[in-house]
Amino acid sequence: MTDPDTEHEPDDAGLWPQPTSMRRVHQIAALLLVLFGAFIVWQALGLRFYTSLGPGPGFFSFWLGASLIVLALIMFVGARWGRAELPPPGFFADRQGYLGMAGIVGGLLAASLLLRPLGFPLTLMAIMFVMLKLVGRTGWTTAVLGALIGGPGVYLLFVHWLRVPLPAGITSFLG
Amino acid sequence: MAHPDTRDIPKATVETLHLLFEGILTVLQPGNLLFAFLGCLLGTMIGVLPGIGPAAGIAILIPVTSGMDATGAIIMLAAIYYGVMYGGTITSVLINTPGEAASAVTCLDGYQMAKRGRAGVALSIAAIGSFIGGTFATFGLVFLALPLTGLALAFGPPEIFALLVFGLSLVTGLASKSLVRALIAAIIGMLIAQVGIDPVLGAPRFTFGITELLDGFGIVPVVMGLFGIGELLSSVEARYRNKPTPAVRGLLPSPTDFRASAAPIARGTGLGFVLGLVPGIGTIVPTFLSYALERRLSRTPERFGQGAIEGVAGPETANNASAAASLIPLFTLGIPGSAVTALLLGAFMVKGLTPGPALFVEQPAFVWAIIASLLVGNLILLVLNLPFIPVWVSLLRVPRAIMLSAILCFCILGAYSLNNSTFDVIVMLGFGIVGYLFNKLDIPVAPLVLTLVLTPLLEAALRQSLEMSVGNFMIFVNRPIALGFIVLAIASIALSALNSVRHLRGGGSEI
Repeated sequence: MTDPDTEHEPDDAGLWPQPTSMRRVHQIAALLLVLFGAFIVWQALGLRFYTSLGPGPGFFSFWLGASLIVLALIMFVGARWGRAELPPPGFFADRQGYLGMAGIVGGLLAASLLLRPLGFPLTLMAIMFVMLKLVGRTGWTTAVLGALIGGPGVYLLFVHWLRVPLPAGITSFLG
Repeated sequence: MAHPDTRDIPKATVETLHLLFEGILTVLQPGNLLFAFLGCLLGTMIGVLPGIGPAAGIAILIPVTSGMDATGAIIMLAAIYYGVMYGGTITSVLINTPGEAASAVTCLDGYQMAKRGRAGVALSIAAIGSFIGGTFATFGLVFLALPLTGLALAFGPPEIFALLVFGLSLVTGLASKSLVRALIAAIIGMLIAQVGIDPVLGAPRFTFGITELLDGFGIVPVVMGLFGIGELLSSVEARYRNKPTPAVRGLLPSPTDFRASAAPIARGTGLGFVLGLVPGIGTIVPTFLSYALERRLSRTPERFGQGAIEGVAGPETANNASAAASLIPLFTLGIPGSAVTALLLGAFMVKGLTPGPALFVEQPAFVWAIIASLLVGNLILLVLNLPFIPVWVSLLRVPRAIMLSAILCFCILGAYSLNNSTFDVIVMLGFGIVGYLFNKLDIPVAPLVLTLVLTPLLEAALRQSLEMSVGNFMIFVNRPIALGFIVLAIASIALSALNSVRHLRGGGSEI
C-alpha cells in the first residue's frame, strides 16, 4: 500500500525514503503512548488506590497513566487533523548512519554482558575498535592503535587516577 | 550558623560577606582548587565539541566525581557547567556550529568576525563578557541567598508541596513547539519516578520482580542515557566531517571594540540575570533576547549579521549571567529550573544532600564553598579562555570517530561505576534509545528530567501534608503561602495553554 506521507524514490545520496510530513510518525507515536498509558492504568489498578492518610501507592500512577492517555489522544488528534509539520532534514539516516547506531547499541549490550568476565580493559578495547573501524570508518592502523591505547588507557585513568574500582577480569595483571 | 535576619540588612550583609570569605578560603584549598580547575577545563572541552551540550557533559562526568567528597564533586560539576557555557562560543565563532544551544546566536556575528580575521577579538570579548555576567550573577546569588532561604525556612510540607507543584507547572515553559509534548515528557518523568518501593505502604511499584528496580531508576544512568547516549545516537546518524578552522590571531580587542561592547555587556548582564531567576527559561531565550535588544538599540542595525561585535558581547554575557542566576532558585529553594540544574540537584542527592533552605543551616561550609567556587571558577575560565584559545581550537581537529568512541567508553565506565552494576549500563542504553526517539519526535527531554528529580520530593511532601491534616486536602487552601503557589501554578499552566492556542491559531501544527 502506498503511504501518501512518504516518498518512495531514494534520493541521490542514497538515503532511505524520507517522510514528506510528520503526520504519520506522530500518529504512531501517539498510539504507542496511549497503549503505554493504558498499561500503567491497568498496573495501577492492582495497587492500593487510597489509604486513611491520603493517596495510596496506586493513586499517582493511575492519574498519571490516565493523563498520558488523554495527552496522547490530543497528540493523535493534532497529528491527524492539524497542519502537518515538515520532517527535519535526514529524518531517516542512511545505511552508514544506522550501522553506527547499531554499533553503539551493540557495544553497550556487549559491555553489559562482557564487563565482568573479560574485564574493563579488554571490553573497552573491543568497543573502541568497533567504533573506530566500523562506525567511524577509520583506517586499520588508527582503529588498532586507538583500541590498544584507548581501552586500557581509559581503564587506568579511572582506576589509578580517579580511584574508581573496576573489574579487571582476565587482565588483572594490569593492576 | 545564625538564623538569617532579613530585617537587619547591614548585619545580614556583613554576615554574608563573612560566610563568602570562609567559602573562598575553602575553595582555595589545593584539592578544591584543582577540582575547580579540572571542571573548567573539562567543561570548556565539552563546550568546544559540537553536539555535546552542558546536560550531556555533566551527565557523562557525574560518575567521575564518585570518589570525591561532596564539596569537591559539586565544585567540579558547577565548574563544568560554567566551562561548557564558555567553550560553546569557540565553535560558534570558528566553524559556525554552536558547541551548545545557548551559543547558537553567536554564530550570526561571531562567525562573520572570524571570516574577517577578527576571531580572536570575538572570542576575547565573549570571554570578558561571560566573566562579567557570570561574576555579577554569582554576587546576586551571594546576596539573595540568605533573605530567600530565611523566607523559605518558614515553609512546612504543604508550602513545599505547593512550591514543587509551581516548579513542575513551569516545565510547560520548557515546551519547544508543543505544550502537549512537553506535558507528555513531564508525565513520563513522573512515571519513571514511580518505579520502586512506594513511600506510603512500602509496597513495590512497577518493579516486575526485578530486584535492581526496588530502589527505582537512578537519576544519573537515566540522564546519561537521555542526553549522553541519545546525543551519541543522533551524532552517528548524521553525516559529519570536521570543518576547517580559521587561524586565530590578535586576541586583544581595541579600545573601539571595548567601547562598543561595554553597554551590550551591561545590558546582557541585567537581562541574563533577571531571566535566569525564572525557572524554565533556560539559557537560550536570554541570548536571543539580548541579540534582539542590541539590534533594536543599535544606530546601525544593518551591521548585525555582518560581524557586529555587539552581537557577540551582549548574548554571550546574557548566556553566562542566566546560567549563574539559574542556580539561585536551585540553591535557595531547591527548585531546578532547567535540565542542567536538575542534574546538579541529582548530583547533590547522589552525595546525600538536598539543595534548599535547610542546606544553608545544616551544611553552611559546603554551600558557601560552592558559591565561592563560582566566583573562583569564573576567574579560572577567563584565564583558561583568553590565552589558550588556540589550544581549544586544536580540539576541533580531533577526528570525530575518536571523539565518539571515547565518549561511549566514558559513558559505559560512568554508568557501571555508580553501583558497580551492569544493570545501570542497560538502563542507560534503554534511556538512550528513549532520548533518541524523543529527539526524533521533537519531544523535549528537559521536562522529563525535571519531573524525575522532583516527583519523589513532591510525593513525600504531599504525604506529610496529608498526615498533618488527617487526609484533608484543604490544608493547601487554608495556608496562604501554599495557596499563593497553587494559584501561581494554575496561572502558569493557563498562560502556557493560552500561548499554545495562539500558536495554533497562528498556523502552528499542534497545541
